[in-house]
Amino acid sequence: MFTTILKYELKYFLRNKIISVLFAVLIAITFYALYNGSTFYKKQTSVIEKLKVKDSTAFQTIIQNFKAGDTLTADAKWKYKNLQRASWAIFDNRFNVFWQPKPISVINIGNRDVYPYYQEIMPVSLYMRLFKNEISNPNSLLIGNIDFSYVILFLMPLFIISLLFNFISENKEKGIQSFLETNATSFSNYLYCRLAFYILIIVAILLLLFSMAYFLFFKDVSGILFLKIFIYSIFYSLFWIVICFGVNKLNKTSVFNISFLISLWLCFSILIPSVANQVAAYKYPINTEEISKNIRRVQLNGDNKEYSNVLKKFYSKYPQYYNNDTSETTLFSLAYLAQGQLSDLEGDSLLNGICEKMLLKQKFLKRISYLDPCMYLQNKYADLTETNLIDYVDYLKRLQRFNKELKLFYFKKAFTDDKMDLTYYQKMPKWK
Amino acid sequence: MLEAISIVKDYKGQKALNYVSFKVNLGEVFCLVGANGAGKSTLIKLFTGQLTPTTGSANIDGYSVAGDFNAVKHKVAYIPENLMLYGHLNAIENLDLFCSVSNLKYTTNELSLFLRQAGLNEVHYSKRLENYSKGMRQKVGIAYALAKKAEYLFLDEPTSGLDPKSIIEFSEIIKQLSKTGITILMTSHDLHRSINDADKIGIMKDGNLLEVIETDDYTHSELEEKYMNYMIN
Repeated sequence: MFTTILKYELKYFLRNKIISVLFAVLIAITFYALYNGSTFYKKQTSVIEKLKVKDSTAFQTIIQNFKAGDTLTADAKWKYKNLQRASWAIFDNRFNVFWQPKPISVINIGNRDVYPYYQEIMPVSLYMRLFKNEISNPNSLLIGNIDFSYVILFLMPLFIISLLFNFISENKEKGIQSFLETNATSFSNYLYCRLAFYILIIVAILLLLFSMAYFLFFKDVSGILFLKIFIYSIFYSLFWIVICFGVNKLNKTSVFNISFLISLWLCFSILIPSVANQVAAYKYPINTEEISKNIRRVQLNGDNKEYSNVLKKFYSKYPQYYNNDTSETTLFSLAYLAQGQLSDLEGDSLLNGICEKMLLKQKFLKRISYLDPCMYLQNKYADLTETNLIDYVDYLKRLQRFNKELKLFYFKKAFTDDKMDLTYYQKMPKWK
Repeated sequence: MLEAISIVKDYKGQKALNYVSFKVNLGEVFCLVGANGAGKSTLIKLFTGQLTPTTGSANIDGYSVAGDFNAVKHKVAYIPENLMLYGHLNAIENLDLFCSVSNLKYTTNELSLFLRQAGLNEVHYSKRLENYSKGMRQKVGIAYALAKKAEYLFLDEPTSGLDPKSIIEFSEIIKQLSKTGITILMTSHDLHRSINDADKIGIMKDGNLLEVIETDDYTHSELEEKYMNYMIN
């Protein structure tokens, strides 16, 4: 019986024009989604690679300048002199930091288009630059993307609904249910066989989509990671199959079923996530503007007394850098450094507060996601592809640590007024 | 033998059937006639296990349908009023599928034979049912009854919505099925066809079986007069 039912259900699947068109659309959108994700990933990695080359070239120039020494031209010699003085070099040298995308992020762009994935920083005045970048570049904030996860999260349930909305009601409306209930050995067995067919066909379609993704775009990605994402997607699709079956079991008309199922889809895909996000935004407001407002460009008005006051304040916080022998020529540059660090200190605590709120927000949304499989899978995708808020917070924390390493590197020399030489430069911290 | 024994069926406090009793002997064609809501389809549903009586019993071969339908299920075939079947499959495929669901295995030739016996023209076998008329779909249903080797056939309003040619064809099929020994219980609004097709006619009104008439004892006009008298009074 099972094989005959499979055979005829497959014929139904292949002969139904609407299903065939939807299937073709699903395949086409999947291909576009993968292409879109891949283009996005390639764009980000290519920009990062270019910046890495730029940083490396800049560092090589420093090394070459040191090696060339006295043979440099007058202009280059002046720059070379600046390089030797840490309190000056700290403002000349720029560093690019990156939120490096993983190849698997092709599947799920996640937060990668919301937050900046690279930033050019200086060892001092970090926060002024950090959030100036973000605020001046919000063009892709919350636009959303058609990526592979979009297909699985939003389109696959719609496809399942279109296949199964009249799974039982069609039989009732066509007189088949009463015909079979009286005539067949078991109508429920017939239904379960059909259901098994649809489970098989959905798994087969998912397998096709994932194979398409794997062989066209992810030959280098870990198979285990891919398998994990595949298994989560199967469970998510099974959830929708069960929902469709449950709604059909209410014994209502096909029109009722489709309306109810679409309402559920809207609820799980849009309503619950957006309400949860609204509540999260209200409970844990994240306002980076606060940093840009509070952290201003360092401004000193050229008064030695002011410089001394700034340094006094700085030394009270960082006694390890105290230098009794500060000459008048370096007073301004050290005061400038000190002022930058004092405002970074303020930025540090503001950023820590923001990161904490981001994590709390993420935790809150994760808790809510247990009520909504769509949100749950969305989170899982973001976790597995490392494109979620936690990964961005982790990037910010690494950035903070790197910045501290850089400061230490320059401050050591700046406040002792020691010259920076080639050997010292070669110990310069690198972004990992 | 089919037997209705003092059947009462209540629907939300209203009596759909009120102590209905009758017998249908083997090989007989019994037609229930009456206005909409008379209780004809309810009786068919009670005999096909879709409903259970409030009191009384619908029996097939001495087995109560409500209590022991599985014992006689293999002998029963039922064709509902609006049997659409699967429009994307052709007649052979529909028949094959429904036979398979009933654990019956036939070759394509055998299935074709059943369709031919049910009066379906061979040129239609490979056409999808979405292009079939109601009469043609009913023939597929009857072919299923033949494939199942059903001893009892229940037809709910089989001629409603059929064109005159299809009604005549259908009458022929009923006669042939009856000749093979199949017992038929059907409902109809068409008094004239019923007197031709059935051996007995049961006139129903408001859940009551008013009279069972042997069709051989009446002419068309006599039956019509009797029926109208019942309906008016």
